[in-house]
Amino acid sequence: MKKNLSIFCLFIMFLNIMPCSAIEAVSMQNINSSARKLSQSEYKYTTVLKKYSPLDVSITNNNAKPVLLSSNTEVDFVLKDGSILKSESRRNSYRHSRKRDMGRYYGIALPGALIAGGVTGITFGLGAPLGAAIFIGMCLPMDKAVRSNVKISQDLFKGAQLPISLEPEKTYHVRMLVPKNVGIKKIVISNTSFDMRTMYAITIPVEAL
Amino acid sequence: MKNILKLSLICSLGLLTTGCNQYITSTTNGDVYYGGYNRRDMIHADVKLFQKGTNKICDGSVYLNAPSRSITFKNDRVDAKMVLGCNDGTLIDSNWQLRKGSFSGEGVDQLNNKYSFKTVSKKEYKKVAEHDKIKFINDKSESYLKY
Repeated sequence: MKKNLSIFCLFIMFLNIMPCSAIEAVSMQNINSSARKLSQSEYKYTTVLKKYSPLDVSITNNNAKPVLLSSNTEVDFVLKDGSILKSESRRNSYRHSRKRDMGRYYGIALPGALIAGGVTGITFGLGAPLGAAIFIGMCLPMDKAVRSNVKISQDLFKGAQLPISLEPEKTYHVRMLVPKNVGIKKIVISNTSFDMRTMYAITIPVEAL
Repeated sequence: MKNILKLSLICSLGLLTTGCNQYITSTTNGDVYYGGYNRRDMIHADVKLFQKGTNKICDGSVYLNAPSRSITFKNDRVDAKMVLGCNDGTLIDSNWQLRKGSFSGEGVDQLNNKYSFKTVSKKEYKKVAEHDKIKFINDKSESYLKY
């Protein structure tokens, strides 16, 4: 009876271990990849550089079949001490790196111009040009912020987007934003596959700095 | 007093109608998809898509190639890109051609299934849809599009 029980226990343990070993990420073969940090001259968006250091990642698929990504695909940064940092979504990194735009100066511009124009208009007769100058001076920075935000967003959406599949014999360049002052060892792109069933992970070593 | 009441009524009506969704459908190879998008700021819109008859839900965002002040995005003759992630693992990547009054777009997922999207009126949407209201998520960490 005792023997049967212990065999049963062993069997249960074996069953428990099985899926664990299956879940552990198997690395994808025949993928050439590298990552390097972009220098200051190569990346010009200063509001992004305040928070992030951009990496240029290139991935080449040398398999005969295309490598498919899925909506479960996640990008993990493995740090030098072994801990894992999840990559932010592009929406969050855009939110953190943009300039404040909507209505930043708009609320002050109109009443400010009216008051300044009205007060000086009575005494000096300079009201209209001064009011106009204040209004333009307040509205222009907002317009500028909007334009630079559009450029940052465009850059994120064109450059920082992983393709939905990696075609064979093709090199993809993807930009990734790593939080500043974080020592990063490698990048792991999890849950990639050939047939959406067996999942592999792509590991990208980051060039030593 | 009467004038103020009238003004507030008009203002509240205006506010009620500003947040309206735009509805989209896609019918290819017998699969019917329906959903909508809602402008978030000058460049982005949130998108949600359902497949008729299944539990498949997709969400993601639209990026415009030029900033738009139009709430529906429709007044702008620009290209846009839409990327969606679904709860069954599918990723849909599609290009939009925005034209005055309407837009249409073609998309592919990673298994090379094709989608063709177009905007529809609320009346047409209600004929297809099983969900009357579309709820857009605020927290991006709940989204199906992870990276």
